[in-house]
Amino acid sequence: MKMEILGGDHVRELLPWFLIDALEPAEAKRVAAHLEVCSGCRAEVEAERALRDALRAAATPRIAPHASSFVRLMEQVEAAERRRLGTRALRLGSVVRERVERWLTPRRLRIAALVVAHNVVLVLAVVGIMSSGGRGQPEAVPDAEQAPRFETRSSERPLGAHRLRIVFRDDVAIWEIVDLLREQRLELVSGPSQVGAFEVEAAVDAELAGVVEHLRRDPRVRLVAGWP
Amino acid sequence: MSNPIWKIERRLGAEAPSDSRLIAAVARGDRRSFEALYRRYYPRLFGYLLNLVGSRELAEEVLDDTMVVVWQKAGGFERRSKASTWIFGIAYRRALKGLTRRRREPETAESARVLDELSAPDSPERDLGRKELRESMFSALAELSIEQRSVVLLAYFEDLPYSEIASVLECPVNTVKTRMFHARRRLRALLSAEAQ
Repeated sequence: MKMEILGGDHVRELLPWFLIDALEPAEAKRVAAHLEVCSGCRAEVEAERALRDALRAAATPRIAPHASSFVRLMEQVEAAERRRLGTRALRLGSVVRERVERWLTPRRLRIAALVVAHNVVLVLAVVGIMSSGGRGQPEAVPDAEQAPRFETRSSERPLGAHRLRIVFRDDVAIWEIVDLLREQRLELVSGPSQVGAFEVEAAVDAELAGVVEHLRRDPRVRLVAGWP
Repeated sequence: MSNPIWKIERRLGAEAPSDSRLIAAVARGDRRSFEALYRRYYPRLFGYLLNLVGSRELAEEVLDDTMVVVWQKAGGFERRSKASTWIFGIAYRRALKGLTRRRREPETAESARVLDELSAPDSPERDLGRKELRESMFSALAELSIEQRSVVLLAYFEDLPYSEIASVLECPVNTVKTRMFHARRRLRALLSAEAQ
């Protein structure tokens, strides 16, 4: 196959990459072929080599990062993540507010007020009837089993088999939680709850007692529940 | 489970993981792979950015910015370009933003001084010679536009082919060649004027 002959201008443009051996083989061959016959471009190669060598001589040896710089970087990564989550929540909040404002026309407001007033009257009437009907009779004391069950923010819901509830210390980063869960082969089921608890499920073949013991020894973990 | 795959491979005598592999692990939130990537790229990025922006403080700030973007966008890296091209592209765009934010041009004197501080001490004569060479090189580089300077740095300090430089700077390859051509011409003129 006949090789394409490159012009001097084109070769001059390619010389920096010819010198650092960063041309495609076919292109490098064409440049070399041109240099064999062109003394002007050969002189240009030498001038270019001198420039490159001078630049490289002025360059510094490459330095490794300082030991603390990665910690500083991770702080920035976490701050950026928090900002991103915060912005998303704010954007969602403003969309909801905008939609509610658009929906609440004066007519709809009047209808909503009428509905609320009607319901209040209804509730008061029912309460009045119930309290008058029960007057004079001794009030039954419910025994413990019949007593209504109340659930508070900190009440524990029953956990399924192989499930644990974990509370981490406040200063533990998200990536540390992810690492720890991965390390112990724990799958995140839900969380964090309002009290900061994560519900996780252990692998089917995991020895749960060992996992719990490991978690309880970990200084980042404040509480592990769901195992005696 | 506690070790990323590449650490186990290293223990078994396998080669260090590729950049793409580390980026894939970073996309899954693997902090250790992110640290490995950071340590691998820090020396190259710091040198490039210091010469590009001319201030140690800004170079470090841009380097951190770059790595934050790498962490956030690792999932979007599609391997259409080399990982190094992708990372240097981010660094270049962050550097442009950093310079605009500070509304200033690179400080050559600071680059040269920082590089002097970072270099290992040599004989006093050689140190002096190198210092002078650095100062003249950096003042010549500072005379170039940031686009031209970036092409020179990526070609002569990073040995990148023109096609990759075009990807980093997001411009056509012919633009890269033209910028390099004019940059070389200007550098030679500046350096010969200084030598006289």
